[in-house]
Amino acid sequence: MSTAESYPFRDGVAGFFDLPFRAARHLVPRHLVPLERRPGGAVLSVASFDFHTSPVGPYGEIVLSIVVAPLVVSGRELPKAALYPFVVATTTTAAREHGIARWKLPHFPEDVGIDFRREPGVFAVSVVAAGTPVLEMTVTGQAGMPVKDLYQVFVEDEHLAEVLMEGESSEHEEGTGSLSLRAHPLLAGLDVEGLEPSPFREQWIRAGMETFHPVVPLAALRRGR
Amino acid sequence: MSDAPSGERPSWFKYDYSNFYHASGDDLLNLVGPFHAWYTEALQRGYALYSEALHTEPRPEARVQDRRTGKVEDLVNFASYNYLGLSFRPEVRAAAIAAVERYGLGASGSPILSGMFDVHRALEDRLARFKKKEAAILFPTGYSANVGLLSALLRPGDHALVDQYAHASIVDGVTLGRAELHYFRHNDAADLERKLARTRGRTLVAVEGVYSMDGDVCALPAVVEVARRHGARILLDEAHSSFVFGAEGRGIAEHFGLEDEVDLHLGTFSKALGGQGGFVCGSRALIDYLNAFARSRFFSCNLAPAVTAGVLAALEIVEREPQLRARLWENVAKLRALLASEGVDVGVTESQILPVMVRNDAKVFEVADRVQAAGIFAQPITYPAVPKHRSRLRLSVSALHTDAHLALAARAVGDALRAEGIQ
Repeated sequence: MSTAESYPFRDGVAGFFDLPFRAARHLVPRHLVPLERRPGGAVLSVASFDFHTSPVGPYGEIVLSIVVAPLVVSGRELPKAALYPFVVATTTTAAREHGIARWKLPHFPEDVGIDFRREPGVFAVSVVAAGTPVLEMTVTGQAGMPVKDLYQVFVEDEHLAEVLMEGESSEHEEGTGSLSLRAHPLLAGLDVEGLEPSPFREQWIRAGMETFHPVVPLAALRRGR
Repeated sequence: MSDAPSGERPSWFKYDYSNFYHASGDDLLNLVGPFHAWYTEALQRGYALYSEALHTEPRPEARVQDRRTGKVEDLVNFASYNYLGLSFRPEVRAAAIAAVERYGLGASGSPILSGMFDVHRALEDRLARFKKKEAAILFPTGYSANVGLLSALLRPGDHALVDQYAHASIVDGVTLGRAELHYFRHNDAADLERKLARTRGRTLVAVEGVYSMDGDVCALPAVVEVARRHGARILLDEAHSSFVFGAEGRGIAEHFGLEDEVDLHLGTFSKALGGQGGFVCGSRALIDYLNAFARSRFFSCNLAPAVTAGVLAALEIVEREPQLRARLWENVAKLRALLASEGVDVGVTESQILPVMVRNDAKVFEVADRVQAAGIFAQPITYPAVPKHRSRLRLSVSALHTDAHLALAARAVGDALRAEGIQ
């Protein structure tokens, strides 16, 4: 298939957390470099989406990524950020199989339960797997402004998907959100020693759309094709 | 200024400096072209408010050239760090001119070789006496003072716990020293304690007297108490607090009565003294060590003798005219009251730096444009210099601002914020 695919969502939230560089380096393949927000410090992104429509029906999704240095190619639009998702989990089997086959995403092999709780100015996400709590995150937000931002998502087998994110976005660095992680196979490989529990940045996109463009091999991009 | 429909981000605003800092790919220079394209557009918009050339000395009324139109305008200056108005005092000018006549333009050498002059020694001695320390050492800039001090003292395996809002020169100095860098939440002694409890070995805590973006003061007593309990040394960077805080102008350490509890006293000559350069004061043993190991100093040319002579004259004025500090604080109090009457939020400031909080990363440029059009020179400050959504217009108060200047600033700021729907 070579067409883009769009996934409208009610809410999409992301918390960005300071993580020691060595912990991020461990999670990211050698051809990618964790972005150092500050010397010695990398960035963990925890994002969650409440998709109301998709090729496989409605589902919830949690994505844990390391922010990495973007691939800059002459003539291509510079992304807002580049991410390497090291684990994705969804609430339905169909969504999981679709994500693996279509987008080469590294999925947790079981369905998870995701509870979204909306209160004025606060969005809370709770993830459970096989009845066991995995993580809770809160993201706070204010009134948003329309955005249309391009992201690079590095996926398996040295491929890249460009993803357009649209919606009403609130983005700030007030440090009012939170993250709580439990020891769980879904978080295997993530060393939480030195992980800051409060996000330095919180983003909340309402009434949004995530559009995945066809996955391309990095080698082809580097050759300028 | 905006070219997008109301409420939508203008196209140039999609990116900021941080988007052009990291890249992968096969060409080392692959960010240069995209940055140039973005910057060229941004320069036609809000970014034109940065690096506007002054055509006069940095006095309360300065002539400033608009980067978009080229027009030179008379503006009331709330952007310069010339807090006591010393850079153009007749005594300071005369001392600098006499030094040019005597020594020529530059030092023409490293301070450890041929670049040390009698005027440098005179400033070191005067500064040490002023700060009530055994000795002082000079650096070409405040930035190089932090880089030199920290890279001289820190080694791999050491730990540096740095306030999250500490200046880039502190971060760069720790990085160069290859110590492990840890950040603690701003002014949060409890978070500092949590992080100190996890470190072992040689440890430094680095804080600033006054933080230059929020204008707030270091919680020094709490920091000292925690650092001492964990056996950590303390660096206090008084770039914006030297010569203006404390009964005698010795800074925040004097203000809190903690001068003997701080291990490393650092400051600059480029703010309240109106000159250039940086310094560290301390024991003779410490200064001798820095003389030997501060690479940013001995691998640089020494401070120009003329600047050194001017700084020395400025220091002498600070010592004999305490009323300058009193006048500065009176002006700060007056401007805060005027801004409050306009409903303006100045955040958590406790100093001569007043951040007018806009909290709208797009509109801060519109606010700054309106304020400048109303006759006030002050810069918008936005991400990545400050956190996202905490953009502000920064006002630096001078002892020489008049009541008319202060009133104009408050009115201009209030009007601009209201016009942009910020308040």
